[in-house]
Amino acid sequence: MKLISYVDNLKDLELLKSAGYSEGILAPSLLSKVGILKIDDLNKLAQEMREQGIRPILEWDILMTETDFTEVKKHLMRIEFPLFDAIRIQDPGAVSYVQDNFAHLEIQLILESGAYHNYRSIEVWKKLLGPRLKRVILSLELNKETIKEYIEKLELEIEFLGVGRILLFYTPRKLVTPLFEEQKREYYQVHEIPVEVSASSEESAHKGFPVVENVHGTFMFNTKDHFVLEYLNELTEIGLDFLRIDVRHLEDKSILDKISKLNNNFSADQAQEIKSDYPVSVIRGFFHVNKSDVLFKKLKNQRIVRQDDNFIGEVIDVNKKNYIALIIKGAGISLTVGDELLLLTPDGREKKVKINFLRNSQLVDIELATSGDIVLIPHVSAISVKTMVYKFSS
Amino acid sequence: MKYWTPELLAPAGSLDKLKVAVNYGANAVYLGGQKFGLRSAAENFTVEQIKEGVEYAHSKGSLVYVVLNSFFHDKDFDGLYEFIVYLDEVGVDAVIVSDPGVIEFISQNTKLEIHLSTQASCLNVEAAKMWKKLGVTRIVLGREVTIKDAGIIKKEADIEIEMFVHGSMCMAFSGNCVISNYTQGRDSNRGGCAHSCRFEYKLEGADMEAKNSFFMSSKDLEGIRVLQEFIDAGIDSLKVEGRMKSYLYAGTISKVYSDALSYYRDNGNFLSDDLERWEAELNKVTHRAYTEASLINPADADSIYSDREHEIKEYAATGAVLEAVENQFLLVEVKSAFNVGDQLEVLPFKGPSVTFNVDFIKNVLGEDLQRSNPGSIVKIPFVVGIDGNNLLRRKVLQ
Repeated sequence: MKLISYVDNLKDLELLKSAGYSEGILAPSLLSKVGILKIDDLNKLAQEMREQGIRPILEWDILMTETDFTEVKKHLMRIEFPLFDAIRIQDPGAVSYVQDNFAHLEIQLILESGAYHNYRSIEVWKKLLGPRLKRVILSLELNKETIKEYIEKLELEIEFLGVGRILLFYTPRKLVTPLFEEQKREYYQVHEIPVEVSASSEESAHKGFPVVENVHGTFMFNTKDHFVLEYLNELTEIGLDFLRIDVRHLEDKSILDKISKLNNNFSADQAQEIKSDYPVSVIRGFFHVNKSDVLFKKLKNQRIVRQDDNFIGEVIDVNKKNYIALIIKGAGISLTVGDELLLLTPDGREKKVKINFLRNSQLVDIELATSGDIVLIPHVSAISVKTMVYKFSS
Repeated sequence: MKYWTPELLAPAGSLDKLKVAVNYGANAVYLGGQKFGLRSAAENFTVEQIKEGVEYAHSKGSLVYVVLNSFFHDKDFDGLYEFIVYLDEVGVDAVIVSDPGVIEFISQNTKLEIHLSTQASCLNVEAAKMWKKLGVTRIVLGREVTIKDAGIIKKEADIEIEMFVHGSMCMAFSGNCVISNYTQGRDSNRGGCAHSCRFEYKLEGADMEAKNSFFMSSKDLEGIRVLQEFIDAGIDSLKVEGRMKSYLYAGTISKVYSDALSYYRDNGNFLSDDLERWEAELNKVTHRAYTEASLINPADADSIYSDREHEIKEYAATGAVLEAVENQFLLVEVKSAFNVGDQLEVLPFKGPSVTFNVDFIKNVLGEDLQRSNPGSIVKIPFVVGIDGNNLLRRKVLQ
């Protein structure tokens, strides 16, 4: 398994070189969500990396409206694309543009955000991009079993985040500087200075979300970084090709070297030590299991979800000892005197009632009611509004 | 001569709301089944209700789209085949999808038209061309796209374009927010969004004084004043957000935009004396402060809703007319209490609202009541021109 990380300056490059990293990601502020490199520096660093035998990879992971894209295209000519071995992209528009305009660049597709949490969706991209697609960067919401399965089936290079911030939220709107007093706001916005603050809410148990605002908008990250170094040996065993280490937010990047040593010679104790020394709280996220859909059934009362078989309608009024009013909703179904009904209340009770009268809203006895009618039937105790009514069949 | 207008597409959180939206003028509705959508807490539709909804909508000349726009994990494909084949059989007009794998699966197994969900955040011409290659026939653009850009995308990608015209807005690029996943254990892109962006946060750092703010909360979108721009750009469909919202919302928004578009079809402009009335009507549903967001220019600081605690509610949904028995009574399903002597407004399917006094309230047995209770049906005075299924509302104090 190879390690990759970001290069923002020559010092980062030296670190990567000495730690034995084979690739470095260059993130220009023009194209990258939280990238800081100016284009001149980008080109110089790419040249330097080539000379030092580290593959320069260009990151283009912003999402772009048509206006933004048009503006970006004006500046692309300043980038010396032949210096780069590959490009990492998220926006399908950028993917299409790179396909058409930069034939030599390998495509590394960022599937960390968006609807790419199943094998079929990745296969679609693979078919669409053909041999240009060399690598996919998988979502952190996939667990290790799924990652293993994809490695076995996809026949593409697979990358996963080993250590780094978890991006929770991305908007093109500027949300932080509007809170500054006017002079300071203008200064930050005119000079396009990125700003980072910490956000906490009484309504959330999690405190201190890092929030970054820059020219591309506002980004909120999780309070805890993603960290799966304890499972480095497992990731190696399942055949993961690339593990990304993104510590651009840390002052001390010596961890890059420690992780390289761990990768060369795994030790659980060493992994634990790196974790203990890591300056930010960490989580393994969904690496073991993703159960983020199990609560859905509790979001609504399943008892008031209509079952289709024998459905008659719904109770809309109860007058104690006198009547229950129903609205008949079932299509093509009728209710007649003598029918037996099953009533399922929102709190889970079941009651049966035989219809010995049916009346309309003018209190006139009727023999038959059909869809759309409002009818009165005999009162039954413990029935409430929103009770679902079914024709009883034994 | 009749002038061309875009389709008005309204939310249908339930079969009842579908009927409300269609009756109040929606040309199409979108709805979710019990799985595969993004509104797990909504009532949603059983398969039989989808069939009923399609039959009802088609009988009134409206179309039905079904959302399958959650981000599928592999196991989520279980049951999808049976569901989409059923949708095809019952005559659903299109499905709304965000996942390339699901798009391909549907293309391979049905003849259903596929619309790309806004969840895919399609924002530019190149992206639109890419999705078109995958088989989508319409793109619901990301809400960050201006109408002008949307017109360019339509022209250059040669594909149907749908844009949101009204309703709540994600602050994030749709499909690019996973706050709920990590803070609540609920996948926001499979129907579990906990609306963490609406929370109040304390912000600290960057030489700023600590400040409390609803800094991630967006105002609601309102596009009534830019309908001409949508038409000029040739936008095919105008979508209203809000499957989780009330009957009154579904009815009011459908009616207002439908009335406005109808005016244009007859006159070729929106220079109507009714414009202020339409805006006033939109203010009568519960809403956050309105913004045009990015419809004309990219949304700026003014689009942030910094006052969540004071959601604007001028009117309460009072009930729905179940029956109108001429010269005798209106039978009303009560949603919120009202008293004898109160003034109610009824929202007819066409034309301005009608105000009337509640001179009596009786239960179904004809016994006099002073006050109606939610969760009951009552009889109130008959009002000429009121139909069954008309909605009632009442002005409430702020």
